[in-house]
Amino acid sequence: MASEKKVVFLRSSDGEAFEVSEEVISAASVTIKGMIDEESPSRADTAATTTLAIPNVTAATLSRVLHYVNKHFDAAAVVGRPDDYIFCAPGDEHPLARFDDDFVDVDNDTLIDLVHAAEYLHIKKLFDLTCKAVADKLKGRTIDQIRETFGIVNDYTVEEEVEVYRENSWAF
Amino acid sequence: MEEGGSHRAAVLPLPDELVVEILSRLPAKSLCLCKCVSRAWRAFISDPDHRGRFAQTLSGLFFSRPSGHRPPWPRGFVGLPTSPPPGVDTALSFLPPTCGDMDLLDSCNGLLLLRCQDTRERPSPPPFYVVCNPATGEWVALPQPRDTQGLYGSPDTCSAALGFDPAVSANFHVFQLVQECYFYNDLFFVVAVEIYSSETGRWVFKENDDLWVHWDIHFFGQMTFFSGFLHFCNDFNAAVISVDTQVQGWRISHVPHNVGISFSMRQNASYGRSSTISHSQGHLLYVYDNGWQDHDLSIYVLEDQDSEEWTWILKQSIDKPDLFGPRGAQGGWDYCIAAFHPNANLVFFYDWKQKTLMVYDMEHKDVHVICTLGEVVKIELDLRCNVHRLFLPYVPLYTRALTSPSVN
Repeated sequence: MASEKKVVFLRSSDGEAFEVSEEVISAASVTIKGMIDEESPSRADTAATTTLAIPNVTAATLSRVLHYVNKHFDAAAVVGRPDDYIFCAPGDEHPLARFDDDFVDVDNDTLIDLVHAAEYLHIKKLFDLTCKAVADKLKGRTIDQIRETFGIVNDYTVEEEVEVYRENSWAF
Repeated sequence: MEEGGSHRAAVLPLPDELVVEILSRLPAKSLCLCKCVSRAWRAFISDPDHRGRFAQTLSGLFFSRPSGHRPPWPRGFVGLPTSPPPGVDTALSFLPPTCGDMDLLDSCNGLLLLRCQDTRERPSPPPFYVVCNPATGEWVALPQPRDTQGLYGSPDTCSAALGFDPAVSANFHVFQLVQECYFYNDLFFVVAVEIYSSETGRWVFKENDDLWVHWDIHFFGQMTFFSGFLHFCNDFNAAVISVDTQVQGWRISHVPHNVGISFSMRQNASYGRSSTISHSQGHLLYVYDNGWQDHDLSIYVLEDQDSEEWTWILKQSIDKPDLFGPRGAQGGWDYCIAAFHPNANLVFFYDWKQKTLMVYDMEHKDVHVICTLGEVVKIELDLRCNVHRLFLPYVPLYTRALTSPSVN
């Protein structure tokens, strides 16, 4: 067992570097674990810390992602098993349910960036969370509300609109 | 007609694969609304490359045509509201000629159960069951069950049903009720159930050990597979009998309806009594029509399938004259329940007098005629009116689930 915690630096597309525990980020991100594994032969027993370039993710998004990762995967590492009820508030279905709800309560662009980042970094839990959050913005909304939320222009002709509304009228 | 392609406008500022991931988390109802948003959204959701990942909903009904309409195919299909679903071979033309004459017995979550017999030669080889997916063209012929009574009966008295829920398992089950007639009152008892599992490729025969305890296990009415159980109704005494795929037991639950007095199916038929079992919006439904004595038909809902005691509660009563006009010459109404919409509070009726398929909105209590269908087979109420289902609701399944055997 390593006594001291190794850290890695992640550099965002706009050049900002973020420090994160190697153990935590390896548990969270398949992509970064792969990068670290590739690097490791050359850095064995050296004190130098690794900096990994994350070219697809901006600093704003990366800092959010790391906030999520530290909350979800560090807790798991400390307690030794995932989903332990350490952040649990009474009535919460999941210990981090409230954290997750707040985490995805952001504007559309931020959310879309998070979907992108979660996919690129291969963080399955975050990917599921953010995809579901986008889906929730579509669920239970009227057609006009969906258009408004995502800035979609209605390009149907009147006839087409009548037809498509008729086809799907049961859902209204 | 296939939509989509590379010229499509962006739906969300994400690669297609990620948009598919997001939309695959939506229920069918939300997807239908998303289709109305713009051309690009509709094209994306209908795209053959994506639709296999999305929740589907009722796209139409298969229905029986009177015999004598062969060839090519004795069953019709009516798309709801208008056209058949894209990419679905509703004529089942992918089945080989060896399948011969076909009777469509059941439909469950995208798969169809057929009884096939190659009658081109005499004597003809024995009939056999086929399960197929008309959206992918896959099909599989089942080995013969131990009891072939169900295979040789007329389609009107069929007692086979399909159990398939892709959300739970890629495997399907076929149930076949084995019945024997009790001379005393003309009642057929279900003495056993035979269940085919696509996982094992074998039939399992389970006798009803409690036959002489449970006098209620008759099958008069209809069957449906829902939540891991095959449910069939006995409109003789407003009961629902349920059996799971492992046959851990036979459950009998009674619908709290005063069924009046009758001593045989013949009497039931002459009163015009009938029952229907179905499911909609995640609930099991039972419809009881006390025949010509009552002006309304009653829809019951099973309160909680997970509870120890199954309790049916009245969901709604529907006034028959509102839907089908005044009583007919014989004193009753001539209609059947075609289907319940799986995702909406809608029920479809067929009126034999007007020859119309209509939809009734149970929430807003209004009725619309969908179309006129003159070619629906008329089942006369008879001693054994086990009309399993005259109309079969169809929800396409675009994922490949069956392993096709080689032809012959």
